Amino acid sequence: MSAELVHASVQKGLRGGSGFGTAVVTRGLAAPLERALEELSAYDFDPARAVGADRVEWAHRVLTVQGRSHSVLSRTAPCGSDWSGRPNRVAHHVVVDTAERAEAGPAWMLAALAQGVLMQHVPEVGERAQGPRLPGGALSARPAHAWSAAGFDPGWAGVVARALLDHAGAPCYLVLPGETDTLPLVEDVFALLPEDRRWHVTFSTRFLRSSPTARCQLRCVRAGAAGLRAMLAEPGARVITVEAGVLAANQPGADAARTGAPIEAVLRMNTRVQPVLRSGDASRAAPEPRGASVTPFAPTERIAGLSTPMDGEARAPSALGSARAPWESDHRSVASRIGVGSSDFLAYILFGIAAMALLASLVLGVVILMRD
Amino acid sequence: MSTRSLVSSINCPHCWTEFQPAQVRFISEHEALRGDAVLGDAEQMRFLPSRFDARGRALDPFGAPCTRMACVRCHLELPPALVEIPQTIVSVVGAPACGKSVMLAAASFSLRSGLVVEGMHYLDADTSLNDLTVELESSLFRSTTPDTPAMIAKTDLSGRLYRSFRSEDGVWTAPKPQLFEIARGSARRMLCLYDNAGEHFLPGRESAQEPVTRHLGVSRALVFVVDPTQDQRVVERLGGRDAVSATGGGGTVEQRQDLVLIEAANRVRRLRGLSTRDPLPFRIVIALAKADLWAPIASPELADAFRAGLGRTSVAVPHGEVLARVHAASSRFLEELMPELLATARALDPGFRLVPFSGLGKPPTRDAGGGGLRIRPQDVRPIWPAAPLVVAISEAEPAMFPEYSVREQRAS
Repeated sequence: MSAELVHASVQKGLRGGSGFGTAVVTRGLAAPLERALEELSAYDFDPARAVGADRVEWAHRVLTVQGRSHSVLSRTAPCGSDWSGRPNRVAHHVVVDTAERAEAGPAWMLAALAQGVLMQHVPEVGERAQGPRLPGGALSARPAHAWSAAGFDPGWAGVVARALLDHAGAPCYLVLPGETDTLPLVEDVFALLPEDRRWHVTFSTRFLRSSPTARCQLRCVRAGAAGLRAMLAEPGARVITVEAGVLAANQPGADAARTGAPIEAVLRMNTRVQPVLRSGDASRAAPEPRGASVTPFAPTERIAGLSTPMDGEARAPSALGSARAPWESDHRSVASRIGVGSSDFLAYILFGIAAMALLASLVLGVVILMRD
Repeated sequence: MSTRSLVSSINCPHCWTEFQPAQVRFISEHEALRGDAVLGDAEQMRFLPSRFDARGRALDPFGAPCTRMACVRCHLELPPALVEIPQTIVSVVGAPACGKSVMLAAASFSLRSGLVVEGMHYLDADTSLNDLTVELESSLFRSTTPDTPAMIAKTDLSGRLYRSFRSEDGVWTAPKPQLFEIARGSARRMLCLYDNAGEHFLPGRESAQEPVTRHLGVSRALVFVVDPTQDQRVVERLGGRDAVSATGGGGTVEQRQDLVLIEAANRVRRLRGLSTRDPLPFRIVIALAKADLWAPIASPELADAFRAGLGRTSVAVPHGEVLARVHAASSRFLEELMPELLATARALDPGFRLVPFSGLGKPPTRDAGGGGLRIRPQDVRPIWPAAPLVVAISEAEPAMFPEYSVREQRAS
């Protein structure tokens, strides 16, 4: 079931003490997850320093806490002044269970939750027995009208969608010219994505900073913001700069967004071979196919029975700690895909080599004996 | 090539790891060396240099000369001066909304003027690292729109005030240090300050993965900021909660400030492995904030010094004898209205110092409709804003500020 947490400056929080703290939480939410959600609650009030493109932060992030991944929808925005007379903000996070994910995707669900579920003011402090009821719904591909309404070429929505699909492991910076109502733009992008990919894609409309524990792929930022240049220099990052009146021309995906056609990822086989350590006890081996469907090499192919890496399944312990880079799972997925027959195949090859060596030594021995 | 004399050891201002200058990592400059094992792909690689050019600069594996340094553990950047100048970490502690950020901004702003202490120089060690202080100062003290009401935002628990790094199989979060070079005569020090959120000091808030208050384990002075207007007894004497809240006072807050002081002292002992019988390794300086609000009910001397709307700025730290009289007056005030705080301070450090100050010098006003507190930057007149900080540094480095150090005065 879903769970929620509201974090704001309150005179007396749920955990005692005044100031920034938990105002509302679903009973039973694990303490480490609560702390990790608190970490996601920051808001930068200074317009000169804020990098994000939107005044409100709408976000879908995959949070890794103690080896488990959670899909989290968030809304963080200013909400007047707090009890001490200083600017306050309210952050409302909803942890979405796998079964409750709407096919329409996280952006659609955020927009739906904004209608009466997500807090815009500091609520009464208290614990709730259960999380919010989450809406369900489907969303088919459609022309990117929100982009046109905002004064941008709708083709850019397709360019963004294409970048998200083709470079699933890389951050993608969407640089917008100024403060923009970004959630409708993101909804348009998600409408173009295949349904089975939507909950893999993470985003923030008011990106603050990258976090080792929270994955955020699409980062909406404001052109000319202080510190943006250093952010965009991140290796491997995709940068899409959108300006009013500038056409996306024939860039990949642009036409699909103009006509409302779904975008499929390009099939790209990953040729890198990664060594995989396998446990001798098959029952103790990590559940590799689960959590291995983030596959940049065959993203359009839906594999029956596979789920996303944020299903909450415990992962195999990693020497790098609980937060693993996305590409690590890619390596595992490559291995898992070819792994079913590869170990047998390898054994056959080794056996063949050994047999040939034995045969050769026998022949050599016979030749030596015959010479003597 | 000039010679450099290095300090014997460095305490990283980010993660507080102690290491020798010879172990310091350098930050690679070559573009091909992107990606670091601790900080991630977005950062340049950190390395222990083995090759140097003729000017003594470290060479990265691709031969590019490097001058930027980093910590051996967290790999976060250190100002180069840190390997040459001894460091003085001052912990600024206090309950939420007591005025820590305003004090830091006002103190930093006034210290830059050179008018606070005669002969004292105060410079940013690294302007890129000190962006938080610069931002705090610019909101009220260097505003480009001095007639537009503004206020310093509440310090958040996460976000860009903090840095994360991966070490020992975990992800750690630490507050961003603000580093300043202070000099007086031939003495030089690297002053290191942190703007923690008050919530971090509340009992039960300490977390292993968020060691945001671990500077208490290495600091050489403790400034404990107290807002007397958060106490019910003071509030009653000032005319009630509404009257106090309307002028920027804390009103009645359920958080007891003496408990925050006890929690801070306990953390100091835990982090340094001290016995409960051991004295604290530094002097506690209690900075009494918003003195312009409560001074009139404390003593005539304080009332004169902090009378609201004086129309002048008093940034200079008062002389030692004035500080002694102010300490005595503040002590009487606390004894009457906040005796448990006074008793706690006495129990923890019998030689504690009381220093009142006002970061704004004038009460802010509430927006129409009972909204947020605002003050026009042009109306801001801080009174003794840097006094608590200077007194704390003088207790840590008595030879540098002998006129403010009780220890030094007793010795002389």
